Amino acid sequence: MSITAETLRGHAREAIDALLAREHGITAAVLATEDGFELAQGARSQRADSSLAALSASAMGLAGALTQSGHIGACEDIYISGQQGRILIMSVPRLQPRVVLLALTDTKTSMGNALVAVRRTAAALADALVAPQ
Amino acid sequence: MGGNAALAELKIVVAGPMGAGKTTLVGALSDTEVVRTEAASSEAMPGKDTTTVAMDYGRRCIQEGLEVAFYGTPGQDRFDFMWRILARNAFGVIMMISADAADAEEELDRFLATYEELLGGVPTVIAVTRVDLAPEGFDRLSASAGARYPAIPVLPIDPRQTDSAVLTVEALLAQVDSEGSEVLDRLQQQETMTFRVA
Repeated sequence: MSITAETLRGHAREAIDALLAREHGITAAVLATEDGFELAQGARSQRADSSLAALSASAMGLAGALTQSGHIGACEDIYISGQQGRILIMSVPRLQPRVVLLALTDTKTSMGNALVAVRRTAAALADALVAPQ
Repeated sequence: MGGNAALAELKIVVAGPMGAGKTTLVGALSDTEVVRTEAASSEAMPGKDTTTVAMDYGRRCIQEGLEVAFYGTPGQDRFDFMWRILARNAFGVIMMISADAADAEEELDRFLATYEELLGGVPTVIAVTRVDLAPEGFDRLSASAGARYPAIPVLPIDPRQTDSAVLTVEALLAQVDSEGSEVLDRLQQQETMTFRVA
């Protein structure tokens, strides 16, 4: 099933809004193509940094090379802990070419909650894209 | 309590715009399995479905005692953070450009200026690809680059061919010293770089 970029951007925008509404510890989120173009972004306070889309793509590319070199299969998720928050990066399932979802969290949110919320968002986006338009 | 760990690697960055043949060159040069970070490309470019999003990495033994690591960069400006990361401690730059690119001269100038800023006068070669498709483009590039950058060799290369790729590296190393001994001296200087654990 082919999806236009415009359709993808529309659903991406809705997915980001839903994620920020569902999980209050997530402070910003970005959906990007696997080669680093931003599809949609949202943030609680200010606009998410425009470099996050390209950085997400590079991170997934490097993580994929790492998991391959480590013989542990394809990369599914990346977790990064910073002093003032965490970053989760994962691919939207079933979508080719890959679309990458990045979420920034505060330090108060549990990683488990954030992970569940981000995974649900990615799955819901995939479902929405394959549903009849 | 402290400890030191030495670095022993001659690092060459393979730079230039998208579609110039950087990933192909690293693949042809490496005698180990190449680490690639390819992703499906959203940008229309004939014959190019994927693009490098972080880096290519390969290694080759150029001569006894001289291992060279090659770091291929992404070509698009949005990945310029990777250019800065990969340029750190680089010994030299292979600057790649397609002879048939519409804006080849401007792109070459721009990338050379960027890497001059990042690395400040390290040995550099300009490797021109797709020369068979645009011989007049190569002539133009060669003439203009020769006039503006007289110290930098301009080579027509085929990045798919290992011989051609290796020749490019040899041209880079030859800028330092035709016998290669100064290259080894520089490598030993790099080995003086240490880390300290407090």
